[in-house]
Amino acid sequence: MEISFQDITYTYSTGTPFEHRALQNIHVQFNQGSYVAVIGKTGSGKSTLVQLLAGLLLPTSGVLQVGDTRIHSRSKKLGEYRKKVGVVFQYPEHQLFEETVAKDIAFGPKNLGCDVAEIEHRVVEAMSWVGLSPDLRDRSPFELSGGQMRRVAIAGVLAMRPDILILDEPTAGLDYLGQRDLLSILKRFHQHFGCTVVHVTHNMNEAAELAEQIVLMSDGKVISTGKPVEIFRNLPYLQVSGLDVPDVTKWIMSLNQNLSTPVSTEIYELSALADELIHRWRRGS
Amino acid sequence: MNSVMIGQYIPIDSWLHRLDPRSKCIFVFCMLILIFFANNVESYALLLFIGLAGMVLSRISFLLFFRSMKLIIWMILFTTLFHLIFTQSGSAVLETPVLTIYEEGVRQAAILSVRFILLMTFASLLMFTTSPIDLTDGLESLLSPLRRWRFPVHEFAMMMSIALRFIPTLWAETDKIIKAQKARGADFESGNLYRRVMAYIPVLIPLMISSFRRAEDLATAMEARGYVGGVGRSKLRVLSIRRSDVLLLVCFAIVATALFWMRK
Repeated sequence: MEISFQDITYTYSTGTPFEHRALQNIHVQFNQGSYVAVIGKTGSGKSTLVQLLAGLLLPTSGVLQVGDTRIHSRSKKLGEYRKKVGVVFQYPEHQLFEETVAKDIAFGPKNLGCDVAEIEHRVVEAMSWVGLSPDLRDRSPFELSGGQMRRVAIAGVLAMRPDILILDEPTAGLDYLGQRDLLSILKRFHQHFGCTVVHVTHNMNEAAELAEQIVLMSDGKVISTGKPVEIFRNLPYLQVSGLDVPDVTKWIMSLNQNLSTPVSTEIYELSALADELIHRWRRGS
Repeated sequence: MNSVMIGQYIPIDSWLHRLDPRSKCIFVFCMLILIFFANNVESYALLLFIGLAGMVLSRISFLLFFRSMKLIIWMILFTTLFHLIFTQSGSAVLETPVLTIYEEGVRQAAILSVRFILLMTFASLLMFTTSPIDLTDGLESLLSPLRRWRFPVHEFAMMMSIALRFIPTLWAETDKIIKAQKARGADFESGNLYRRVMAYIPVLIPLMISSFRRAEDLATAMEARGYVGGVGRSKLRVLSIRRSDVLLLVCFAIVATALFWMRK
């Protein structure tokens, strides 16, 4: 489903002293099946943007068009729409509530109206997607480690097989290996099901490595959007938004100061960079 | 969480905001009692005027006071209806085949409605203009004579301030969990009462778990910073009675005298 934000504004607590304009005249489009990263520092409006997309907030003004669905300030009955969108919130392990891991993962598919066999199939599948061993299925989710709890929570969303998967800082609070692992799961899931992924992060490395499109936000506005190369080429823009280029790009830039033929800064994956360097070394430059 | 909560502190600056919390507490408490002594149009008009003056002095938009009335609107409607139907003395005002409304019923309904509105106005004035910390400091100071009977005043005030401190946090947490479960297809808006109540289980369990976790973390953090209760504990901000506080209590004395002179 093609997603387009058309002149969207969102204001919290309208008409009180706590009034706060979180989004201002947002115009942005995401292509069907693309992996989009929304980046920006704390308070830039990224979370509000994805909550609108999830149908959990209604825009104060403007229209959000998702496929055939139009969401505006007076939209009602978004229940059906929400079933097509999966959201992994920050610290999703705080939403677990069932007695067993399997029951918790089954909550979403059950709400979708799947039959028992289908639910069972999806639970098993989701557990294998996130790398949870099948013998954990009858354990209480609260006995698990933090990292495992997060996997259960994410499996609960993946089991809904959403057309649009929203991830709000999914790697926050995980150690480096946990982060790498989760990112590769998300990447494979995206490629396998072809769903549109909207990934909110302030980690440039994640955004550069995974995203096909980056949306750069600051103070409730979309500052810039485009392919990672286009975004990270424009250093001053990023610094105004309080952000930086990915570590890989920084490393290539400092390496390039000592090279006569610079390495391309369009490389964002470590393995691709390693290949490039080996290639050069073999050529003897 | 798009609306201001009932009784939430509104952090602006006004004469009422700057008053000592103790004098505000005493004033509002006495006012609430005074409301029950008013018994004719003049005395109610006086109290309504005081309430209105308070709203103006607080520099808080009338809209917020109006919104806080939403909480009691059903109580007002219910008691009004109750009195109109069941109070049967005085002359009949309206006669219909099914129901006769008597003068006394109308009078009682009006009195109770005005009382509810006055109670809510004064309570809102206190809550809107006093920060939770000031409020508990004030209460601790007002209750301190109870120490003589070994009542744990400090611990009581600390408990209250922690409870107040966590209302917005838990509210935000609830909002987040509701959204997360909605995103997983939970339906809170349809079905009969039983189904709707059951729909909140996926919200209540995570909320309870996180409350316990927060409580434990807070207790550890307090202990780590050497908190041992109220014994020998000093205060950073010392409350002081100023001229304006005396003025407030003088105002109350005048209002109270006027009211007792006005009532029949």
